[in-house]
Amino acid sequence: MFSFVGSFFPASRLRFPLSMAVRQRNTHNEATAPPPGADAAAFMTQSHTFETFFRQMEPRITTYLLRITGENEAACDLSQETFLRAWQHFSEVQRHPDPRAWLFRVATNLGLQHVRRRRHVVGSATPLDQQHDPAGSDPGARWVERALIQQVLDGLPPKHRALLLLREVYGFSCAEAGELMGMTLEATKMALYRARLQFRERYLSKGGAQS
Amino acid sequence: MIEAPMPCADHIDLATLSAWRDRALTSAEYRQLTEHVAVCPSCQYRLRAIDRIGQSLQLPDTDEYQERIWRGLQARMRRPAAAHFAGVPRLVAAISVLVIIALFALLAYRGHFLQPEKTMATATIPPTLTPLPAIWQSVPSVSYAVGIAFATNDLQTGYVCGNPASSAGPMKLGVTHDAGLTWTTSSLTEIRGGYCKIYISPYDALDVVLEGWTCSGNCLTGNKYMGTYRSGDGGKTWTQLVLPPGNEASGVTAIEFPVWTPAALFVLAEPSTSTETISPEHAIAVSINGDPLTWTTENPITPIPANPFSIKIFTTGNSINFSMTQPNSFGLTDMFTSQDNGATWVHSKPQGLSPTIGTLRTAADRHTLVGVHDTLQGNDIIDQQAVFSTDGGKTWSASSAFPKNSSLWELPLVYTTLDGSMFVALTPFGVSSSVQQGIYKLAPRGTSWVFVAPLVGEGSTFVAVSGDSTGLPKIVWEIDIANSPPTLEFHPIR
Repeated sequence: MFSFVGSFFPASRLRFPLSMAVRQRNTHNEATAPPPGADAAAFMTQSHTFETFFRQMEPRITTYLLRITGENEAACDLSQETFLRAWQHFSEVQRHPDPRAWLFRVATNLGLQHVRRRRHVVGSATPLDQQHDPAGSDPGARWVERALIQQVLDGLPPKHRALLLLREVYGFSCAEAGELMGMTLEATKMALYRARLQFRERYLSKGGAQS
Repeated sequence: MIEAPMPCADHIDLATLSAWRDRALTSAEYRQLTEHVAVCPSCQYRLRAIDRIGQSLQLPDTDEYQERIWRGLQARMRRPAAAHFAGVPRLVAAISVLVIIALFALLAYRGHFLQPEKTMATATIPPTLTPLPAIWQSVPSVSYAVGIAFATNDLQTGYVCGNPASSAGPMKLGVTHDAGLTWTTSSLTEIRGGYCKIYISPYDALDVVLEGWTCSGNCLTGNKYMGTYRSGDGGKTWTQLVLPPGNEASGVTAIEFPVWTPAALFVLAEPSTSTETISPEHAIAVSINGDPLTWTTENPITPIPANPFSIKIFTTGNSINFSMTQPNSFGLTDMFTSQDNGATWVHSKPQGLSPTIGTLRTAADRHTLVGVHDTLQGNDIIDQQAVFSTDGGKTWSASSAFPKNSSLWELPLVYTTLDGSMFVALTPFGVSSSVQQGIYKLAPRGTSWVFVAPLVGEGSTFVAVSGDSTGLPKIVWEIDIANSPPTLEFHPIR
């Protein structure tokens, strides 16, 4: 079984042709059958390439959506929807100078739509349970206070949440993140500043460590 | 709020600092502020607070939902377009169909529709797809290397050094900016030696220091000191770091880029082996803003007995620490800590499960210290476990234990990455051990070490980790010293 680790290689380093991608793809037992009336050979070739693309990018997109929505089920559904759209526009995705940005744009739109439609309040002051008490936890386990961080993220305005994640976690530049969200550079710069300030204040108010 | 305990002399506000960090200022503003940040403790403090926000948001991607999402997706991929209307009330569907037909007719009339679909046969794979097989592979172009390091703040930038002739000739340098996929090699005419060590600034992946030594034996240890050089442009140009008078003939044994500022660089000089005592006087030099090295103190503190080969410097918080092991001891026994760039030092004795000094590392969060504690019975090591300190090394406590009956490999034993992952190379401990020799990972919040890759062979040394642009570790690197010259090998990890 192959492990795909190519996502960290920048776009300019592309050197593997399609044939190699197909040879090295992560094989799967359930072959994808073509829809009725489709050219079976072309469909198979394209679906194999797409599967490679999916298997590489899915963990990143699902994790991103998990942090935008704070819900496992929603993240899975929205991730599937994101990749369905990628499949439906796969020729466009392949020609795109940065397919990752294409996916993140779709995932961001879907994630923000979902958060806006959601009726219940997010980011309420849920008390931290014992395992997240910094004083009582294993030093090794203290490094990432996942639940606390997610609570703080949930409390941010959705756009700020997405911007912060795109910039700090997924390595998009300020300009790229803004473009992806349909914002000007100035607006992005200010929104990022506010997002950081809000994040820090909420984090500390919920008992996060100063340092 | 993100407020520093001390004011900024130039009244730089947080919004401007945030924009500087995002490189969203004009070139002139960016240059001006970069110079200011290098010398302003207030701005450095607030930038560290912003850095910590980014660090706290790091989270490993999960693929636990992949099969489930793929199965659902496959079903939807196979579904003919009409099937998307399933479940829609018939009237709405009928109206939608009529609207779509009308729209298609209009587009066809205007000539924008029914053009032949472009074939996929000539498509190349998306640029982000570069699959690598999960086996060890060597990199012939830099398989002379005996030193390797990747930047902790940029896991895509790394350096290797060495000399295929194992001699005192010009050192070779390999540089990568794509996590090791491609390497640019050059011959450094002024830097000589076969053995080398590389150190990279935690603030700037292009700020790098290289130590050169002639080789001893298989060239995995140094013999004669050949000089230390610093480059601020990723290895294109170099300046020699010369020790100040008083101990200038000694070699440099370690470099420490402090974690609290990009402006300083500490150098630990080779102590004299003719004495059984050692102190920071004439042992630690500092360079501020690239100026020549000066000794950190002219006022010697009370010397204590120490094993001259078991000393180390490390930084955490706002302290430079000079740590040592006393003779006949494995663990860290004494520390001298300075919070004024080495002008004054405070002696302390670490409490708890202090680590073996060679394993001590400042984690990539620039705050936590990690290491490995040996449990001894007489002179025999009977157990080993990972230990952590979050108070600058004063107290140490255990975290997740290593697999039973395992032992650490030699040389760079512990490697931490920005997402909080920790890597060690383990080898079987004792004849009855069932532990597989290889590289193990402790994930953030993890409670057990997970086997991620075997080692190439007997005598191999795990040395570095590279990763993606978000700081997630993706590849482990090791130098196989069984070959001559040693081969540099990499292995993708999940």
